[in-house]
Amino acid sequence: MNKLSEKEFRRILEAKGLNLDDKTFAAALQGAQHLRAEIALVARYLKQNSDKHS
Amino acid sequence: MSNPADLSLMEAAAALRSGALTSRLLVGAVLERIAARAKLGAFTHIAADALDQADVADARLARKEDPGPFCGVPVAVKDLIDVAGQPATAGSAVLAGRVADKDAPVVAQLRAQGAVFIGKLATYEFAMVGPELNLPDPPARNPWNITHITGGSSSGAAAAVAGGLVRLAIGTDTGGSIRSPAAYCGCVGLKPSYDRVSRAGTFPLAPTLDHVGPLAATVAEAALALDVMTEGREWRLASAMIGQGINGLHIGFARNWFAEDSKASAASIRALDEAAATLSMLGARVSLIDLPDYAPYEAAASVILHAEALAEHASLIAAHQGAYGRLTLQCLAFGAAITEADLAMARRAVQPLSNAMTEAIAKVDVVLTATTLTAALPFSAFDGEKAVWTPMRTIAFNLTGQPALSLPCGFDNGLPLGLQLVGAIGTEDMLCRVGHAFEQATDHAVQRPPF
Repeated sequence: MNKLSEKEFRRILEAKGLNLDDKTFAAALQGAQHLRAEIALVARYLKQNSDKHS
Repeated sequence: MSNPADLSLMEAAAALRSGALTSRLLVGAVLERIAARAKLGAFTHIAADALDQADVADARLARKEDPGPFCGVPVAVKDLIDVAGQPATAGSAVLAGRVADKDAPVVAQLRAQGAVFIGKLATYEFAMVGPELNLPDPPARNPWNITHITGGSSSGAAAAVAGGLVRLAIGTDTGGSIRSPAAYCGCVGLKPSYDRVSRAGTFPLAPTLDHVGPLAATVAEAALALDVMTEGREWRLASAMIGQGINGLHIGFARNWFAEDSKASAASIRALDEAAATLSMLGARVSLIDLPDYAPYEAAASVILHAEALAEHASLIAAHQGAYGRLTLQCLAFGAAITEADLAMARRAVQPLSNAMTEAIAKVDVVLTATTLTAALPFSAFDGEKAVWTPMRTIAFNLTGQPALSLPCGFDNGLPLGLQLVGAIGTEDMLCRVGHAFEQATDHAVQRPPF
């Protein structure tokens, strides 16, 4: 759930065959960082509610 | 008779059966209306055989066949859902030239009743993100102010219904794509329970969140349509309780989901408060309830949506990456940040989140909350390079699979606002009962944009 580095994101996109221009890459990285934060939020939710609603 | 294009589905069905109207006249009037209001950009394709389809329906009616309430009635379909012989491009150059070779089951069910499929409606590219200005088709425009967006992704569907072009359109909803454009444009949008309507023949965005449903001019018309679109017989008729009134029903007013959010406009909050008061005056017991925190629902659903969307597009990206719109490709790329373990974790959260929601609404018949937190933004807000997310309260119910109905509840500076009614899975009948009662007690559903 660590923050995604630019280098790491480039590597993942390449592996998936996604070639973005610089402008699109910058916006995609921002969206990806947001999603990483959402993943962290889900992890916190599960931790806090593991007994309550499962 | 007034312009046939303005008849409700029920009025049109009655006039067609009595012989006061023919499907050819009705479809002709609708085609004229579409041409006269082309600036809305709602349609991306008009069926060349629309009048031929109408003639077939007229022949069936003349033979006193009665296949159902949609015989001879024009219906329009979002260009994400296959209609045999019509373009099926999902609003993208990636699929340019693709024509559907058969009807999606939901279309086939309506066609069996004699519905006339007059054309395809604009969609955000692959139902992903918009508005994007550099695609083959220009974006649909809000009928109340064409300098404002419709919302999406069922953008053309909402513009077409609210703009008076058709009474019924078929759309899809993965995170709010039926309900938010319905709210922004001022029409009714009904996202059914998960699996109630077949998704086959529909280009998937995220299969575990995707829903197909109607956008219509009124709640009764949406309910009637859903009953024909429903797959299987285990579901209660959505139209069964229309007109029964709401005396004694318990409505939970989930004000915490919007009024505590700084992004909610004052006009939205006021309209929702007035709606709650109206439902109370109609005899319902309206009490405040606290729904669970929205953020974990949105987070889990976003993770699932982006991961599933990227997986769905993997082969198309490999072959046609250059044909994608920039915003769509950018949004698909978000999904690359999600590992298999992340996706599995988000899926593990679905059950506890659903359980928490079930628990929160257990003591009420219906929940009232906002669909979106503001009216539609102007196109000028989307001129930058980034995707702009508009605040809404919809995706939680794609995750839980509960039915949710959006209907008009007021205006903010001349632009429509929508309320959202939500219930337990399979309670579309209750949502439509409450929605219809609200509609009958107010004049929101009869407001028409100026043309």
